[in-house]
Amino acid sequence: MKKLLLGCVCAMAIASFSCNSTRTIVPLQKGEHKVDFTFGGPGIVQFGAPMPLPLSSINYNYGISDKYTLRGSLHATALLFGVFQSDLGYTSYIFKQTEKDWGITYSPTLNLMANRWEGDFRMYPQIDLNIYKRFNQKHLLYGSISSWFALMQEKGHAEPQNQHILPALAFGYTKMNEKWQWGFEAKYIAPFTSNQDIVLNYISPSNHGAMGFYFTLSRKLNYSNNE
Amino acid sequence: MNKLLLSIGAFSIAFSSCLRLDPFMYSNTPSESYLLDAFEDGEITSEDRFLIADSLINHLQLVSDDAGNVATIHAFYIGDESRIATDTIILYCHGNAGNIDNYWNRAKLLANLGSKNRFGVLIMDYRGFGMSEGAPTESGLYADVDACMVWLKDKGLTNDRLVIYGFSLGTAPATELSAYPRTLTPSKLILEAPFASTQVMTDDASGIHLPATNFTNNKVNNADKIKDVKQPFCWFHGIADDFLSMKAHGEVVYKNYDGPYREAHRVESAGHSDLPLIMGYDAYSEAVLAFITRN
Repeated sequence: MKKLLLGCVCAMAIASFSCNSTRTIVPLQKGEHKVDFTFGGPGIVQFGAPMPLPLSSINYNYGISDKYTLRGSLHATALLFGVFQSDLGYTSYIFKQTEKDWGITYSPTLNLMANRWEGDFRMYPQIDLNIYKRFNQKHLLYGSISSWFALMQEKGHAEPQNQHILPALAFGYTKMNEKWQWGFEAKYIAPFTSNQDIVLNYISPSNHGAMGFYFTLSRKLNYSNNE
Repeated sequence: MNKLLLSIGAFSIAFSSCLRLDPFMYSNTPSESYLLDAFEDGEITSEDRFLIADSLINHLQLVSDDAGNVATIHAFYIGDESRIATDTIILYCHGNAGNIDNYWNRAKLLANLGSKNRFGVLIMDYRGFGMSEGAPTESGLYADVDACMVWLKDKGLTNDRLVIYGFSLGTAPATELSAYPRTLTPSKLILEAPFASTQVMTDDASGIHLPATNFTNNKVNNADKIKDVKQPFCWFHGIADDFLSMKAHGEVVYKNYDGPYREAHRVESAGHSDLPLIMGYDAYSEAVLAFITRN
């Protein structure tokens, strides 16, 4: 009899802090501020029922120009457990088609985490490549390919860390209003990493990776009317 | 912008909490009584030939002192108490699921090694499990198993006749008390489906090397502690263990052992909890018996 432990679920909630939703897809206009609250995480099956891990984060975006948006996030669930986790980065255009209102953007990010218990610190670079299409300035559809990079050469007990790239594929929708936005995202995390023989049953279309589900609520603090 | 940064800082400090996941690491089932043979959801099934006479089933209540945190724990000694001074005793540290009832058939299997009641078997519920008082903690596990050793020593058991057997979660106290003995020094160590450490659990689950200290103060680390075990060591692991992978957990523990003798039983098709069943009760019993009686 396989006994999955509640503790393992919780452990995974922490271990999966890396699995946040895709951040800013389209750069803000110069001078705009936006705050996002994101809730959700990788899906698991626990006690026979599917559920997302309850990760949450607060994300702040600032348009330093019409092309570059800086952003920083604080992971709220992690913070409850004494782990300070933040991701810092920016989003900019690779390509923008104004008439048909679509484009390709990229987002380099540094993920930083340290805990208050033993001060263990980790840093993971990340790069996102996004493609989006807006409809009537009201609806945003997007897809994203991203990857975390694990730079350490060893895991616990000096075992070799063979996996240095953790890619993910995401699709999302955002409803855009003048001040408020909300959106959903589905993300296939680590599709090349086996999810077998570990302490948790991930929801996944295969024996690899995990499906993540996220909800985001955003508020523009000072918005431009000519968007 | 400065206000915003200050706000984030204030938020971080205000909401940075001391929540720990340690209490959730245990899957204990408290109970008012024990069902033993009547329990139907055990880790493995049993057979009539393994039945134990009621007169040889002794329900014990022992006092366990974990650095001042005192709890009464419940245990069962299978065998004739009067022979503890001369018999070899297997101290069985069970896994995380449920309580003694879940592992009763396993204990009976060990009580039938070689012949009926050839070895005495002591199985206990850690604090918070079954009828034992308190809540489970890592240090409590060690204290509770040591409390059993105190009882055994009082009954005349000596180091050379004590074999400690740990399964899954129970591999933590079995390894700890073999590497760093307290009341008694086990003469042999048997681990079935050991986990390497909470760090390996985290590594496995996240795919990257995140700190285990992010979520737990638990320091269970069989992979390192096994290096200090000097007793002969026997390891069982199901190759098909889909909970604690043999490669990521068991192999690391086995590899790190540096004592005088070790043997491995990698069991084809066995999962986490069904190894004796899949291996076959007779084959399993023979393997354990051979290790215990090996000079």
